[in-house]
Amino acid sequence: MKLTKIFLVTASLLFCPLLKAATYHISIKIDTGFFERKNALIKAEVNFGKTIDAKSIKLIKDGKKIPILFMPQKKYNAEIYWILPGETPSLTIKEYTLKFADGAWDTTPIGSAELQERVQNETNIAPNHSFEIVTEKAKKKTNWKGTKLPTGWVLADFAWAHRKLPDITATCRIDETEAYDGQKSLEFKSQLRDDKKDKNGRKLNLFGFAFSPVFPLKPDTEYSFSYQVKFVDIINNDGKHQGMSASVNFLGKDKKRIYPKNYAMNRLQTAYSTARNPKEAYFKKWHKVEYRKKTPPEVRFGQIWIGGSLTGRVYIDNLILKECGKSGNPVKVKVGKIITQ
Amino acid sequence: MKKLTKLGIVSLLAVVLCQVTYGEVFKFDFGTKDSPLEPGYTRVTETDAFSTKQGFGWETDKNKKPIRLYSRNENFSTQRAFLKMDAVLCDHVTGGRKYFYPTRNYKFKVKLAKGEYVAAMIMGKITEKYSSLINRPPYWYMNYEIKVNGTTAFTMKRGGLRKYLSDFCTAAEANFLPGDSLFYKYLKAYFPIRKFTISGDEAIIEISSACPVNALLIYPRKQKNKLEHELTALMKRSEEFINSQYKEQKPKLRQLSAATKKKFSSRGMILFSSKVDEITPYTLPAVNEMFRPVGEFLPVGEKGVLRFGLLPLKDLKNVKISLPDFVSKDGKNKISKDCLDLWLSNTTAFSSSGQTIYYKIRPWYAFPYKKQDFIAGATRQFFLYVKLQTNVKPGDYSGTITYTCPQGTADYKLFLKVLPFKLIKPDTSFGMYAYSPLNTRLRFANMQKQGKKMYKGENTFLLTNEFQEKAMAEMAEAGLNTVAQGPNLLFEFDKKGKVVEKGEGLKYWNAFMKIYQQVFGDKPIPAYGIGWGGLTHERIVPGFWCRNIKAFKHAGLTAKGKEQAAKLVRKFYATSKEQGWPEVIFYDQDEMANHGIWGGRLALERAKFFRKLSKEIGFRTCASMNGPVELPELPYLDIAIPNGSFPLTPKNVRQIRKDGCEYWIYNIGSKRYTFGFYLSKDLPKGRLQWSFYGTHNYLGQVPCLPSLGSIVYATMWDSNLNPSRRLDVEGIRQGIMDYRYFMTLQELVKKYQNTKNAQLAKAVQQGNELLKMISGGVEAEIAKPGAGIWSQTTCQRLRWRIASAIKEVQNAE
Repeated sequence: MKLTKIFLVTASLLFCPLLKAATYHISIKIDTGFFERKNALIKAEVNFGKTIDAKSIKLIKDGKKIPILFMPQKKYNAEIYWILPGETPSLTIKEYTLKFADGAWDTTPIGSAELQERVQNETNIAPNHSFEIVTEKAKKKTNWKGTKLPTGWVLADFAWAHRKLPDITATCRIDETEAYDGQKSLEFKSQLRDDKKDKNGRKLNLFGFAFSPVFPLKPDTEYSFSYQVKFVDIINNDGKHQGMSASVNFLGKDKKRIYPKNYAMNRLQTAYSTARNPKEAYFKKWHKVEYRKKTPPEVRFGQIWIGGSLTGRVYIDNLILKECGKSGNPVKVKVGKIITQ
Repeated sequence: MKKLTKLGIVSLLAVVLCQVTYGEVFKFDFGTKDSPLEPGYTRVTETDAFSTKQGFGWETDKNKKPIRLYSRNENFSTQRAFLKMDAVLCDHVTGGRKYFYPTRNYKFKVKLAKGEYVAAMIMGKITEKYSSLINRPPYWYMNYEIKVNGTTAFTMKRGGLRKYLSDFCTAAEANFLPGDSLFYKYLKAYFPIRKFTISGDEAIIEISSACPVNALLIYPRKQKNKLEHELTALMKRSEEFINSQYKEQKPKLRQLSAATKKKFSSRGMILFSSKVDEITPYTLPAVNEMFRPVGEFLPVGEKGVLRFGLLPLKDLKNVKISLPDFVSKDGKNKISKDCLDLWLSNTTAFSSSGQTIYYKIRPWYAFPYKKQDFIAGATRQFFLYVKLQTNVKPGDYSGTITYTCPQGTADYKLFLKVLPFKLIKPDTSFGMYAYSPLNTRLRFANMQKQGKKMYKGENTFLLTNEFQEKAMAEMAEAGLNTVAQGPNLLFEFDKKGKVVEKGEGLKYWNAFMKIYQQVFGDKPIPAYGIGWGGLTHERIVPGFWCRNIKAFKHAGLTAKGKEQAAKLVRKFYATSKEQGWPEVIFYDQDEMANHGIWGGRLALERAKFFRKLSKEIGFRTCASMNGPVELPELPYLDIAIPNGSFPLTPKNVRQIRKDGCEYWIYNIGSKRYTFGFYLSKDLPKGRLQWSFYGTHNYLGQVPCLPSLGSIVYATMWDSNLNPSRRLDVEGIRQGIMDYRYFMTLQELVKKYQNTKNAQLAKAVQQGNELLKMISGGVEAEIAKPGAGIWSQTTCQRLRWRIASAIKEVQNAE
């Protein structure tokens, strides 16, 4: 009896660590859907339901281990990325097995730098995209009187050419009362001047603008660019092109605009016209504006510009600039149930 | 020393002055006062009247009113990367402008030292107006002459209208291949150099008013070689200037291995099948694609296409292609070669969308194959059309096509699977836009003063009808069953306010409708343009605005305008009844959202007006709509024709139907998917696309500068005046057939949905799941970035799945 007890205690002591590190597997099915894929990035969102050892994760296909990027999210959830190598036809279904074991939950991403860069490029490369990171007491300029700048960005309340006009009220500022994402957005307040006419003989409309820092872009690559816009206090100024616009300007290796006068080629322009849409479609609500374009071969860098030609108050938030997949439609992923081995 | 310097300066001035005035060599660059001047040339503008002091200038006939001259710089466009030309070619002087040229000649005089001279005159222009970049100058198609000192030195006789059109369209038969020069292929021909001799002490050069003069060079006869040398240098400079503005976007170049070349060298060529959307001159087949047979599956009674490539390994001369009969596996059944039709794609330099300085070489349109040469290394794309009779026995067929030339012979295997069912023809309207019969190049011949004179006695009416007939037959051949085309200014008001016929508009429209009826039967025609340009034009009915937003803002649609518009519409439908035309759907307006919120308001007013009239007279109305400001007009239309910018959200599509409109779609691209499986989502009743030929394109377009790719909306015609087949229209052909497959399976599923036959029920269920999978995969909002266009390969694979599902149901029946 004593021996039995000793045996049981010893056995439990021996097996406890093994029981604690139980292993599991999940079936993950991917479907290319209606689009052919070329080196497609696959994203699977997995809820592990418990703490797991990230280092133990293995993605297996036909007995081979596939390199992955493990990106922990909120507790026990993670995004797992990998590449579907080469060309894969449309209407193709493939099955993978994700294996893992118990362990301590770690919030550090694990995976190759190459995959991390790929994920970053296909997620968002717009600098300070939601204007959340702010530099205070920024150097004031003649055409900008604010105190807080979105870090890396340059703001202007109005064009330099109008700096000598008196009583300018147009502003371009960080705002903390309106936000689509996070706590802040970029606010533009315009000013319609009674004392000066523009080149079309209409009242001069002063409107601010913003430039992002320069960032790398790839040539011959399709990018999609979107942002959220909210229009408030709109007044018709009789202009033909009233609305907001945000562009990704295409720069060459010298960081200068390619084909400076060829606007069909030198930017990815994403505009929203208040003159071409009924007010109920955009007034006092966040609205997503999106466009996509392939960069010309000379492009090496990009810079985002935001500006407008309307009279009123406008908020901009959540800029998203990312590389598109071939079709723009992600590979569909179906994550199965966790099975204990 | 000072004296010597003075002497030197005086001598130099004398030499320079002599060169300009009475020297032996004269080089004039004609144009505006501020357009670029070729170095070493003397500027001549339209105001340089002849003076003895100057020694050159425009000569005026005594006792005659001087002809008014105009200068023009064709480097006018600042809007985008539009072709810029060099100092000599970019500008000219003419004896008229904007299609208006007097019948008299104009004269240029140069005072010469007595002697014998040779001269060359560069005469060219590429546009006529500023508003459109592809409007062709009358100079391109007029007869003209050049006289020197009263003697005819050059005569341009273009022959009859048919001969001229044939000559013009010859340019469409040429290919642009890797290494070709844009200048020489697409511009040089429009800047001919006319050479002549001069004797005596002056040159009075007389030119027809429509002729432009860009440059004039006069050299002593002894220096003829120098003139030739200067002309060669000028053209070289022009070529460099033009070509440097464009960059070719070449694919990554690959090479065939020596082993592959050796393997096929005795044949001299490689024939291959490929999945790529376009077989371009750069396409190299993969090893497994070389001589891989090409095949297609096709239901009885249908027309299908087998597409394949030819890669010449050496220059092939005079290649003869023999078409085969297709024979069934057991040898008992045959599809005759009479059912086959071989077409070859021509290659053109085509600007990439949004990247105006880049171009690609694309196989954009095709003509029926004629024996010809092929250049080594330049791959070409063939289409073999197979028209199946309805009595062909289903099964597998094969045949061998043979290419023969002195450099080699190659056989290529073809397969055809004839499917044992027929496709239904849904009642959906499939059409492309086209412009009214009078808005063609023939308009010059039958409407403009000089054209009428030049082609006097020619039956331009019959010629117009011939083109319309060929074009519509070609549309029907591609699977389209209507055309969005309207009339051109049929009626006007006389002094008493009575509606009367305007010119020959009604005669042409009536003839067009007769041809339409022959080709498309009684399918309703959406008469594009009738509501604004064709019947109730603002010129005919002032106050009934369509494009004049400013006037509408000021005064709205006036009561008189509405009254007159109503009279015209009544007259039109009364005539329609008399003539027995098929139903003409009244096209109220087009893309009014382009004019913003006020455009939407005007669209609503007009739609209300036409709705009331349509109820009274009995016709249906429609409008093409491209923005949400047009939503309010929906309750006043019978047919709503939105495009992706409307946008085509599920909510808007529901609204269209809720407001009682029939749902059609226009201009969402001419890809196979947008005419095929995309429609499976909401099953619209019509699908229109711009354009089979547009305003300026029909018979006015060949591949050339200034606008690469401007042929995108034009049907090319060959020198026999037969139409081409465009790559995008081929996509439309396949799309329509995809949709017919879908609808055929859907009809079978509906027919047998309550069957008690277990095997049939299973086949129906599987068919239904396939239909749901397809329509469920379509993203309705097609203009949304990332909505995605399914590739040809995906569409083809889905088509095969549908074909298999149809067969399953049939087998279980």
